[in-house]
Amino acid sequence: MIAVVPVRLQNAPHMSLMPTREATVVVALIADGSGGISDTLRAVDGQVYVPSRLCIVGTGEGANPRLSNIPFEFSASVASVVAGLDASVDYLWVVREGAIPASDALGALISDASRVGAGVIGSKIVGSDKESLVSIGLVTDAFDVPYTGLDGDERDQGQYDVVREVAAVSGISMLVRRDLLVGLGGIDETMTPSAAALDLGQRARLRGAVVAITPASQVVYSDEIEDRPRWRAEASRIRSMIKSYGVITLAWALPVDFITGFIEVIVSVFFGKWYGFDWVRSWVWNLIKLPGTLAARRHTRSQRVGTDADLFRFQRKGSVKISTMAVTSVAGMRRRLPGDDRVTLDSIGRDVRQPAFAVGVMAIIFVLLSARNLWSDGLPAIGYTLPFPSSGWDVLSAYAGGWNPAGLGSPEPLRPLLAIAGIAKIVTLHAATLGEYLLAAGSLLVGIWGMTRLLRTWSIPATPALLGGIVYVAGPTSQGISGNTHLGSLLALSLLPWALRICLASVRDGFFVVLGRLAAAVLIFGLLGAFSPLMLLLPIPLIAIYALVRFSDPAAWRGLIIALVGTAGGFLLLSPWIWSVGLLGIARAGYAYWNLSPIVGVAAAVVVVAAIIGANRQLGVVAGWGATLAGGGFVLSRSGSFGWGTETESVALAMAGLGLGIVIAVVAATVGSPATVSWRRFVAGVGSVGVVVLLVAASVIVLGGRIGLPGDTVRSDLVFTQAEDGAAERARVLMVGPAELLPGDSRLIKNGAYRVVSAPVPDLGEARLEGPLPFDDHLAAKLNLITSGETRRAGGELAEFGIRWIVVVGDSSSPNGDEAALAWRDVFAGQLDLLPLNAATTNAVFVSDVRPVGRALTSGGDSWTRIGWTYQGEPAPGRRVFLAENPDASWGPGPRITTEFANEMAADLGTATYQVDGDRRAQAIAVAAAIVILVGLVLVGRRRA
Amino acid sequence: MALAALLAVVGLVQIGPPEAPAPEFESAAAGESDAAAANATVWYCPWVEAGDVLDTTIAVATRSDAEVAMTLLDPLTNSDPTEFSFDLIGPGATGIDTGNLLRRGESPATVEISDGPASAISAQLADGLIAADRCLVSVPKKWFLTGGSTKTGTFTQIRLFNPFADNAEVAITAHSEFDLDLSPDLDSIDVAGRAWTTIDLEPFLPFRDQLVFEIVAEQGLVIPVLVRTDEHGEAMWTGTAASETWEFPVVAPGGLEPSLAIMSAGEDGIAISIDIVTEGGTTVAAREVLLDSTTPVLVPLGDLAAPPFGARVTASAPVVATVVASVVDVEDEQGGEDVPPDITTTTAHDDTTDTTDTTAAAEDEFLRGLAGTIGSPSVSTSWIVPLTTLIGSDTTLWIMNGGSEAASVTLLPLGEGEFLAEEVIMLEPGTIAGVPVDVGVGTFGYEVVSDLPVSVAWEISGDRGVALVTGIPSE
Repeated sequence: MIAVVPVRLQNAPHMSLMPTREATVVVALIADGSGGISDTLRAVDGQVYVPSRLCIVGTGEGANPRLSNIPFEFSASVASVVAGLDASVDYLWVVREGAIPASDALGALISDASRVGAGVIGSKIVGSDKESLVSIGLVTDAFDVPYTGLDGDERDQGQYDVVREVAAVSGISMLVRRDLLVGLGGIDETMTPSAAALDLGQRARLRGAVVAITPASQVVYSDEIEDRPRWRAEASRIRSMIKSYGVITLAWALPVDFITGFIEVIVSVFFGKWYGFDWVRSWVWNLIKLPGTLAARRHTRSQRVGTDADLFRFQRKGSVKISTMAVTSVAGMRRRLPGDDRVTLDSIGRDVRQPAFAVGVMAIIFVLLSARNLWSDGLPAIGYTLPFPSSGWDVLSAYAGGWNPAGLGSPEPLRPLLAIAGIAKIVTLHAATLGEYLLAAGSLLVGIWGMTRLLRTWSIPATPALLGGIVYVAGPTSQGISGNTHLGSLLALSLLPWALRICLASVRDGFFVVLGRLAAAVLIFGLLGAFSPLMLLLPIPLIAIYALVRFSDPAAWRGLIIALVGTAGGFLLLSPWIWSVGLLGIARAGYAYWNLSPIVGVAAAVVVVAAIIGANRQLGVVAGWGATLAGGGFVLSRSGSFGWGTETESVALAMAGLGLGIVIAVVAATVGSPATVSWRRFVAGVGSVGVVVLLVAASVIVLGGRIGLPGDTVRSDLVFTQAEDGAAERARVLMVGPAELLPGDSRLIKNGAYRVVSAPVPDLGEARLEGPLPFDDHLAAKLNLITSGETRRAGGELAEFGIRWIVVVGDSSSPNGDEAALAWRDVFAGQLDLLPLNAATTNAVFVSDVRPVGRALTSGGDSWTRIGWTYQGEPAPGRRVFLAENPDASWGPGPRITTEFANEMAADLGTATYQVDGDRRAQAIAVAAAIVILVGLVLVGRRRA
Repeated sequence: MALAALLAVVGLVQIGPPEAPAPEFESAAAGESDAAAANATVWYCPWVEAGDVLDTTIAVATRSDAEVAMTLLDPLTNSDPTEFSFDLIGPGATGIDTGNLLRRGESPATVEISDGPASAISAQLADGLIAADRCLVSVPKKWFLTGGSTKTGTFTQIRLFNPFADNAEVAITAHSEFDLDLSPDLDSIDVAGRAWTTIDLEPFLPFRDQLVFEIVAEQGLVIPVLVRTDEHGEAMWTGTAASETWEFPVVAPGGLEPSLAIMSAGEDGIAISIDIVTEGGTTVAAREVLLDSTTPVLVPLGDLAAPPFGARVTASAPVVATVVASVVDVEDEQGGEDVPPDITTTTAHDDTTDTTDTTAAAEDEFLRGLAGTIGSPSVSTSWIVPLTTLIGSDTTLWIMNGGSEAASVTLLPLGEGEFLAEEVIMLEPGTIAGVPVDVGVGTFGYEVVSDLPVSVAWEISGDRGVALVTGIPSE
């Protein structure tokens, strides 16, 4: 048998030193100005194993040669030190300024290096207390991010005291064989120290050398081992990858690292940090240094005896960055929960045994389950809840002075919710449903979280607060909002507790701290108003009631002032939309009447009574406030007879839900408190029965998996429009029937509701209709003609509006069906130029028998396609294009003819666009700038606080 | 807590939103007015046929200049209909022989007229056959068809014409001398959009002397027409709504024996009075009938006056009525076992002219003809009456003045040119007058304007048979 044994081409690093001769060591003391060089000199001087020479690399500022008896010299760089080493020198001991090696540290390094045949060997680094571990060698992930594996304050109990191979050593104290170092080309001094040590370890391993750590060599180092500046450390890490990895590994590692860095930039914003510039600089630096990096790579790779697999052996799975972000996120959340513990390895065990943790996990699971269908399907299309527009940039542009596409179009600004939808689309790189999912599911989580933060104001523990939060975001009141399909109000629920919290939480002294708080209030209030304009008006009365309840509490009155500032600032952030609407009109549209289930009503009453009677004096006041909110919200949610509308109902339900959540938390806190005894415990126990009922009611939203929103109807109603390729983008749909079944707002003709929508499904930009304009009036006149039976050619009458399909929603299939649907069906059933579509539709559907029909129709009869917020088609020189939108002089290109009802313009270019309103665009830009400034003020305030 | 309780109570006592009012669309309840409106209208002609035996003439009359678009549906599914357009200078009228447009048998038509008042009729012609009636402009959800029969030798068909896009689902309820005459097969009949169906009633309701149908479109809309056939000829008439008054300016054409088929529209114990109006005067309440809610009655009129005469029906509640004029079967005349009991009361009046036994002719020679028509539920001062003339037949325009004063009636013949002269007649109260229509000069209609409300119909009789057609008032 012939055995094939891999043979190293270079055996020098494996050769043992002759035991009969002591190794010659030169010390390279890296004097980086971090302090403590004198202590280091003394420690080096006190080594039992005496080095032959000491080289101080760097300025050597503060170095006193008299502290050491070892001959020393100054060197500009490690490279010059290495270049000056003669063949008699066996090792170079690299020591960092501030390190204090034990007297036997060098001896142990030499001894163990010889024993294990290490080319690079490092010391165990401990803190100044000589008990805490700082480094026992490193492993990395695939992206060369170092990972110590140590807990934050892990003590040295000898648990790692074994000589073992590692990916790299820390660079505080490491011994490198001279011949290996020369062969590797020295230490890469363009890198930060730790990164350079890691790079050296990797290159040594590729050359077949052993990289090890020895606990027998102990070094005290009081500072944290952290490379500065951060961007340089990142750049060094990337350079190290490029130098060491094979092409295949680089092909995936570099792109993934690029993306991971970008994610880190985004996530870090939420923790008050900004890594954007670091990320950019690190990659730019590497681009600039790429020629040198490639030369170094050639040197490393050309003499390698190992492969990437040898490096992978000392790498952990996954990404250290992502793990760190996850841990930081959890820790951040944990900090915001009641209690003082932080998330640490030690505390995890305690946490998981805590009810708050269990309930928190359950809350997350609850949210994930409750929003599961949004992940795949996105938002349902029903009522005022419609999918986000497909292009985030388009909708942002439309918000900032562009065309409003609802109905037959209008120049009125879109609601600010559309701007948020556009940003969500952009941030998620226009993923189909991701933005909708993140907003919807995130709102549930943020709402629950906000309730816990708000209730922490009164020291209500986590578990009761979480219960209150769950009922707040998913309970009967939230379901009432979902039933109204007011998506904005539903999302705004998540911010209301935060808005209150930011007003009521204590504020430390300091100008910037106060300024930061006010800026945060304006931002939160602005966001609240962007989701639901009426909700912006809610915090002031809520805090005013609170201030009245706690009349002598200055914090409450201060909160009222913050709320006033926040509301005023929030209004300004709603520009340009806020200047073109009347909030009273919004508040009075529709009829507010929340249909309350008797069981839920009784349960809520029981909880309210139990909270007020059973709670102690402090919580009793809070419960009284919550009960007032619940009662007031309840009245307002049924105030249609006073002229209030459905959006007011949704805001009132938010108020009632908030109050209900508060009293639930109070009851749960009272039950769980050992201080609650006697009859109070009994009362709280009775109240907890009501809490259970309300929790069960809240859990119903899990069934649908759409955060309580009703199932999609509009999308399925209009799916047939896609049967003919490209037809949906060229024509409109007239939807008629009961108003509650139509998407968004509707108009009335002889008590019959109708509205015009885009195919194949209207987006969120079409939910809200503005006041009727000439083309709308023209449509109303045509419908009047049709519904009065004066024409039997409805298809022809509607063709000029680009209406190709008519959908009668509701049951019109039998005489016992919906009255409105039957009436509309009879109207269109009696037309001569409409054809019924019976296949795959649940509604009565008619298609126009008139040709051609189009939203943008040229004088040659060609219809153009609606792409985003423009119309595009074949250029038709010399022809005109008729645009079935309300007349507006900003539609172009010219020359345009101002017609009585719509727009007619040149078709030469094959495109029709709307020129944005300059004033509104300027306002929107100003708002964006203001937001950036406010965010900056918040960050400054937080740092000062 | 008191405040919260107070708020809860206030919330609980709030009232819910009012019920949303139902849409008030005129078109959904259309059908009450069958007049020619002064705007664009669509007329539906269910019984149009053009083949090797039968042709149909569609006559259109208009007071204003108008574009006329005729659409004749193709019996083959999904085939494009035949469309024919022309301009008509008003006042004027024309007749279109559909046989010149197509020859494919049954082909119901729609006639769209861009301005009005205007109206249309259809007349089926063959050797030895003529049948005609007005087309319809109104499309109610509920129709009545009276005057049907499936007695031996007589056949009745119903055609349900759906010119619209949506499918129609129709329930037909039959009434006969046996009271409510249920036939489950007629409870739900589907009529596809832009199509029609023809139902022969003999398999479902055989040997009924009288048949009245209540037709309800539970979904969609249909225009029904009844076609009655016997060995002597064929007649057709359209569905109607119910009314408390009906006027028939002519009921006894061409020596046929007229009867009035009548039924309650729902109420019980309806008192009906039939006035006979002749050229010489009126016999008030010549016959009175007591009608129950579900049983149709056939009231013979031939014994009340000598032709020509008209009839006016007045009821205490809404009824539906049709005049059917046929050759009397001798066996029926002598009284058969199936003849229903006589519930009528006849009053003898001095001012009636002498009575002639019109049935005698039936025994002598074979008479050709079967006619029927719906009446006019109201009178009007303005009528637009399309009609047709044939060589070998006489066409007569009949005007009835049921009022108490003499009416000055202006008659303007309508054709494709302006060569036809206007004529003015004075019509005494309580009389009828017949105006012969010139044959072969291109007259296809009349505009009738009166200073007092009158009713108008026209008759064609000759060697092909007889047809009675009610006029069309104009708004």
